[in-house]
Amino acid sequence: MSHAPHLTPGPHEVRDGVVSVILVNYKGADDTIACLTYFDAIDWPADRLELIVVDNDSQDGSAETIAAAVPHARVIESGANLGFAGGCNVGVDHATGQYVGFINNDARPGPTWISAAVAAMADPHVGAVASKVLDWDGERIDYVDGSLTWFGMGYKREAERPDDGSYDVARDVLFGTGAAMFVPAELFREVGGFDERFFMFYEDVDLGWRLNLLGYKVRYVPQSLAYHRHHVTMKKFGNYRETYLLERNALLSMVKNYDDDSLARTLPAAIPLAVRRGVGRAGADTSEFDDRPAAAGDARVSKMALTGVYAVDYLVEQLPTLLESRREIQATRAVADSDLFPLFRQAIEPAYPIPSYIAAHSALVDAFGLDSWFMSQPRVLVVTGEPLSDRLAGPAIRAWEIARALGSSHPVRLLSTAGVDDVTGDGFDVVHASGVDLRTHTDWADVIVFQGFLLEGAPWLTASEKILVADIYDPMHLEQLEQAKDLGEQGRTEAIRAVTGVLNRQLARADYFLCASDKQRDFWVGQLAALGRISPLTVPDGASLDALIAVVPFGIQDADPVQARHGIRGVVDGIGLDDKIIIWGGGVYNWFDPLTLVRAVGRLAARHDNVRLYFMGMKHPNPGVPDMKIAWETTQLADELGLTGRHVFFNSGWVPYAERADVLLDADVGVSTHFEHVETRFSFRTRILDYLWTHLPIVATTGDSFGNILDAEGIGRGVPPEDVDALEAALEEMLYDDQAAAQAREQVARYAEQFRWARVLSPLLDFAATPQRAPDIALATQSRPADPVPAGAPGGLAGLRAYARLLVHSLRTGGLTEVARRARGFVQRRLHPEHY
Amino acid sequence: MTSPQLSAPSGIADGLALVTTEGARPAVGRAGLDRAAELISEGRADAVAFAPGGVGDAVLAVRTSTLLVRADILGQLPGSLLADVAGAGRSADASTALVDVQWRLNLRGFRVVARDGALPPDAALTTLGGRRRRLSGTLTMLHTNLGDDLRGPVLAAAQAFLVSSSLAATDTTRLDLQRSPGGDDVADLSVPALGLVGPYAVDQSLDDLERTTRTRERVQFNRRVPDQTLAPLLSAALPGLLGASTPSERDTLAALMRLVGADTLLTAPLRVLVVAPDDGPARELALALAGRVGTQVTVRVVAAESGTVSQDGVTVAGPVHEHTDWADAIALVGTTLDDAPGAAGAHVPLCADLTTLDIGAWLRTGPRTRYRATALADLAKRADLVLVADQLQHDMLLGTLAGMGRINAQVYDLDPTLNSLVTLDATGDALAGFCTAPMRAADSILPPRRLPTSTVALAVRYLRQGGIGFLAGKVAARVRGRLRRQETSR
Repeated sequence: MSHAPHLTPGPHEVRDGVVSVILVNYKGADDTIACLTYFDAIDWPADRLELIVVDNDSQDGSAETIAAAVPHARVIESGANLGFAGGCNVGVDHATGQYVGFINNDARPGPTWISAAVAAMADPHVGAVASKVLDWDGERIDYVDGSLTWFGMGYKREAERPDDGSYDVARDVLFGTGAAMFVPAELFREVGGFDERFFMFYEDVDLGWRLNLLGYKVRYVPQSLAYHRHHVTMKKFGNYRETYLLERNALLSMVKNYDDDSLARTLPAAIPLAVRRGVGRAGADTSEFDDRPAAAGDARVSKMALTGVYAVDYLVEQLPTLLESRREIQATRAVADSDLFPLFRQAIEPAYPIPSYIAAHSALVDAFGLDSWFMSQPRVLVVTGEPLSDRLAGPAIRAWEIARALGSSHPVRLLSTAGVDDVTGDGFDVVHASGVDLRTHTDWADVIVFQGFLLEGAPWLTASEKILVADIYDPMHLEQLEQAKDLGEQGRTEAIRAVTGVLNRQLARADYFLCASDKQRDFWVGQLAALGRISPLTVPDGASLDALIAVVPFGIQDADPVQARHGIRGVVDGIGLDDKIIIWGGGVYNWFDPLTLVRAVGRLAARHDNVRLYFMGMKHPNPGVPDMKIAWETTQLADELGLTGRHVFFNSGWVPYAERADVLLDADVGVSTHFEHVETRFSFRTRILDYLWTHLPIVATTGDSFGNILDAEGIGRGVPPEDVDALEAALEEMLYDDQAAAQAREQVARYAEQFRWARVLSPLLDFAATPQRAPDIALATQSRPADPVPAGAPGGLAGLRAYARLLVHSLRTGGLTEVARRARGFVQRRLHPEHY
Repeated sequence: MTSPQLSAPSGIADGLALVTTEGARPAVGRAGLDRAAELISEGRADAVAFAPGGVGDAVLAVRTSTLLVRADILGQLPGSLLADVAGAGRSADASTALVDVQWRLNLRGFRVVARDGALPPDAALTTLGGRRRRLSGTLTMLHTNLGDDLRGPVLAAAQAFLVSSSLAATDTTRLDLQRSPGGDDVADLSVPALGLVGPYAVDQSLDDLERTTRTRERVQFNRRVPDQTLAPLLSAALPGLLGASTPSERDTLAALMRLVGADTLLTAPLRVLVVAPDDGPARELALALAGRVGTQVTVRVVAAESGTVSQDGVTVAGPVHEHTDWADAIALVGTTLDDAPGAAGAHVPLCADLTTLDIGAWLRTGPRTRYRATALADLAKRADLVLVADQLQHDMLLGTLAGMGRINAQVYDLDPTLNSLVTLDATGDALAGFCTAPMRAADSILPPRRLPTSTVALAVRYLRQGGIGFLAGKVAARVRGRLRRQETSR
């Protein structure tokens, strides 16, 4: 499957555990000798090391000089300049090691260059090890990952960056650099070694690509470290020589390795682009000599202008052998192109800053749909309606963690429609936009993960082809059943109706859904069914609904909590260092029942003077979330019972996200009590996750997804709704029975592991790796199901009245910003009715 | 710029147009034109191109300076293309534009035949620039006219061939370190100017790529015939269009086509998806059809209720919509669009065979919902050909089609019998004919109709189209019309 005349069929002697290191020398004896001497200090036994130097017909006495200086190295004279590819193949043909390592003669190995690579190759799935390569001084990156443009040119995105420790985790890559890499010797020979048609440059890209196609992993191993002076050899020649080799070898790689569909899209774009690249770099004018007779003689042309042209001609010249190579590679491939595209990292990359070339690149990408074909790193926009600041509420925390998880493999923007205040993303950008300004960001994204009201703020998304992921972990319409009681009968009816409409629009349009629990999943599947989304199109008979909806619970941070200082003990007036503290770890909303808790604490205080109940946040950081009646009733009750400031304490603000460990780690028990109603059954209490994170025993009302498993899992106690006696008893046990509390803490630590963000987000990460439109949405644009609950208000005078009420409601819940947002939505619906 | 000669020379039958490059004199005598006119009047051709060696066979396109064509179908081609035939040179030289005219007529389902005629000296080829424009125009034409499956492979092969064949007399090893060391102190090379024509044409084809891409979208939307139907003609035409005249050049082109898989695509049979119920007469008809046309085309039969798909009696995996996507043509036999997900939006020919149904009874015996009526309406809106069993059904379906706006000028003008839209087919011949030579309906080029549902919606639409002024104009016109009607009624 490769063109390697200097790699003979064998048989070859193979010595187990031996590593053969191969250097190719071309008129560089001094560099080669210097490199070889570094192997004297390497952390690898000399009797398991074979040093092979292939002299590429230097004709300057190099071979003799090297043999004399390093007598334990085998020097092989190739008899001709076979380039890097041919020279390496000659070396492997003479090697006796189980593994072959390649290192440029202008590089040097670090102490564990070999040992770390050999350890990694113990995994039979690893077909090659890509070493980490730094500059000669070890300060800046040379190679830590291999990226590939859609037109076959390998590149190193991280080159020249400081080595700040960001690249010290092993990962799979498309290719390693030939400057320092390893392959099991038998595998190297089996796959045909380096393709000698390449002579030099990109033979390493081609080899890695082929290994990946066969199903092997090319593993970047940072401990296998080498240092490199770049391109000493090629500096001796004109730049056009290198450019020509790069151009032609990129085309060869493409033709060999892409499958039929990818080749059909890329080659007709890559050929003219190669021509344009050379012409553009030379500044040549291809529209010249229009009036010259066809029989005109010769023309003087810059060599650089011909690099792409001659590369195309080389491709045609190699047709007979290329046809054979392509046939073999495609017949034996085990991996689809689409599965490899993520390893390309950023395929849509023009790579050369020449205006005429950039314009052509852009037009070609558009003409052949290359950006959608190579979604190797889909751009992900994560949208939350919560403000982003140092004080984060549940939805914002979730969006933040989603952005952080996706940010390691995708370009990610976390966007808040409510505001951003002095926060910086951890591997992603943080932006604020609303209204028409959202357009810039939605246009940028390939995939949009959103909560809440995005489709109202960005109505163009409904008819767009963007891949939408609706995060419906919060059944907002069920919340409204309780939350909107404060709005009066009519206001409540409309609020429920409006929010149901919002959710229905999401359910009717999104391509993938995230919910928080199995119970929620069942509920959402029912609502999806009502909207016509459950059909053989979305979910073929016998297939799982996982392709449409995934359970992604709220998670806990991967890092364990650290208390920098006390957040409650000795800080809040009235709470001492040795008091027993019950924490209410979130806001106080109408669907919660803090009243029963206050009463239970009041009774408990009669027997235990040191019991303290601390409400962590009475003021939601989102000004759009109104203060609710139950919060007022709670403070009233605590006052009436004489508990405020003695046994019950209220934080009138909100604890900053980064400081919540300080507060939670001061507590002895986490508590969550609620009333019995439908919202409870489908809710997922995110505050419980904080308790799990900080290993707090939990006391909570039964009926929701957590409350029902507390006793079974041994992580706390579940109590019936509004049962003061049961709650008092449970709190007393968890606070004052040391053995029970310790057992609960131990079980919480065990139980919590399943909720690490890295684990719970895995369905989303899998989806984002190869995101797709839901087939029913993509196919059925002409027959979309009707929205059974109209999203907007009714028409006529009744409609005007409804809008007036909605206006009042919007003012109360979200202020002028919310009113403006809804007004924009109204206008958009009028101007773009086809989107609805 | 001169105009192409579009009117028939005196004495030639009415309704024919003579198109010549840059308005030149026709390259064939009166007798030749008369014979060509006869072919067209007999319905054996819609256009006749005159080129050396033409023997009356159907062609995709040939290099010619003279084309005799039905004047009515010429109007289906864009004016800019005809302007290029006249010598405007916007996208291509005149000769290539006339090749493009023939190809696009084929895409619209018309038959072009070649008859013998002289090819006058080609002035465009006397300069380097003229040759470069010829080649870049050819590449643009391939980009525009080839369907999604063939464009990539064929275009890539054509580009590589044009570059390489131009450089046949050039030493292209001069940049190669391995084969041609030395000379690094010189920044440029002396090469035959003619050798640069192909590479420069490839480069120039990029300059107007955005416009070409937009043109392509229109051409592909307007086409009525899939590439697979035209594949034999395309295979025959390509070497000539790309100037592969010697055996060696043809071999190189063929090898390039193999490398990119174009040869396989060009020889692959048409893919037809037949969707029928799991059993009953429609199922039997579908299976009989598969047996009848199976040697010419690849047929997959979908059992609509169970969703199973079979090819040559063997079950093929995958949901039905993936097979819909696979198909070059779709035949719904006793089934509706809901049985072939994706068919409603697919831009492939679709035939609705209702010969096994009594439509009236079918509508009246179903569940008490509007489903069947809606399904029939959707089918009438989408189908390119409807087949029925008897005259009563035929008349009824004509009414349905009329109700859906399908009896329109586009359909009627090309086929006043309307048989191309709805046909009696008691024997299955028309169904088999569709499956071997499928074609979209003449009105498939019309955008989906969107009628305003209310005055407000209409007003909003006018606002979006032209702002307040436009809306005010429309309102004023309405008021004037209403006043006129009131005047008349008095």
